[in-house]
Amino acid sequence: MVSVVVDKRDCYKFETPISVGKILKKLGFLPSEVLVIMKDRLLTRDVVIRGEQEIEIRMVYSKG
Amino acid sequence: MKCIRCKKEAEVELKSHNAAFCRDCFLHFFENQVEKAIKKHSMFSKADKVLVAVSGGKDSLTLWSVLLDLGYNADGLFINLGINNFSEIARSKVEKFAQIRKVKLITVDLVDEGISIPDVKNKTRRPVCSLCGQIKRYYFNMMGLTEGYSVLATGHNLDDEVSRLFSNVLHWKMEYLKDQSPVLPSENGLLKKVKPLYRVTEFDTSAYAFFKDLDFVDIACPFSKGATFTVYKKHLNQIEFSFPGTKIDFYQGFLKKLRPIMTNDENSRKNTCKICGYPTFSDICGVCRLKGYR
Repeated sequence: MVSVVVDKRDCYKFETPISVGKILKKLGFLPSEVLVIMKDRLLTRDVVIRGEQEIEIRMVYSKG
Repeated sequence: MKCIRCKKEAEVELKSHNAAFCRDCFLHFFENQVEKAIKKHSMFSKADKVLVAVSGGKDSLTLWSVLLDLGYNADGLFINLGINNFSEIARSKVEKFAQIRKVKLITVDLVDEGISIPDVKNKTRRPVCSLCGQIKRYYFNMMGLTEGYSVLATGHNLDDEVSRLFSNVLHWKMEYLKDQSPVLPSENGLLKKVKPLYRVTEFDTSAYAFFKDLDFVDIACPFSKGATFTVYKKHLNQIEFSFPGTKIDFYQGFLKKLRPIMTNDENSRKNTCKICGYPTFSDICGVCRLKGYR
């Protein structure tokens, strides 16, 4: 399973293996709207997550 | 996905550039885009004193950081809006950055000026975001001129510019379209204004801020709920996803094809404010009126 924390609030879990692109699609995000972070690295859409992992999704919009 | 420059594992994919970059190559790309914008529009040189308008958000701190890294002489200007917790957090982020980078920070406190944003919101019926923008532009200009800076730089990125252009076109706001440009020259008591981040997107500045470990404000301004531009940005991102490169084409097309034939000085501010001397369309400028002058 991969735990996906969105904007430090909501947490979602997905079966692995799963690609970052698929996670974004399931959550309704476009790749240009968010940073996907795992272990202090940014992940591109094609990266496949395997096993037990935790990733963070951060919205890129300015908050005013 | 591999970095197109060095073939290492990529961390950033930029579809509009048909490219992917590792961390180091992305930072190189980002700095290159900023430098290109500065040079292409003759924004400023290393001899100029640049004043960066910093809010504590990711775009303005990214701009300040990248200008310093590129070797420009850039100081910061922070306007404390007086919005309780939000403004205090913003101030602490900006002060921390200035302290770490050992650079000069000028602060204007709107509470001391008698026009904090919560007070102004209660006094008038005009939209608070527009008033806040008007007040900030006034102090950016005034502080820049009185402190002897050659140019004021703001952190507007490509998404800001494209959503603003989209809005101005949707509503045919011709007077605003005339004023939309990466550079507004110095004229009639107005300091030169530039937007060195206009070639990079919100995603790019976020990635830069992440890689550079910039500590910025990541809570929303309590008055910005339901801002129209956020909705436009979302729709424009959808278009960009389907047709990469649309945003930059839209903006650069406007700059090349429409803006040159629109420019005239019909609307230039001919008066100066009787109270403060700031250029204005009437006898007393908007900020002095907010301060109670009639």
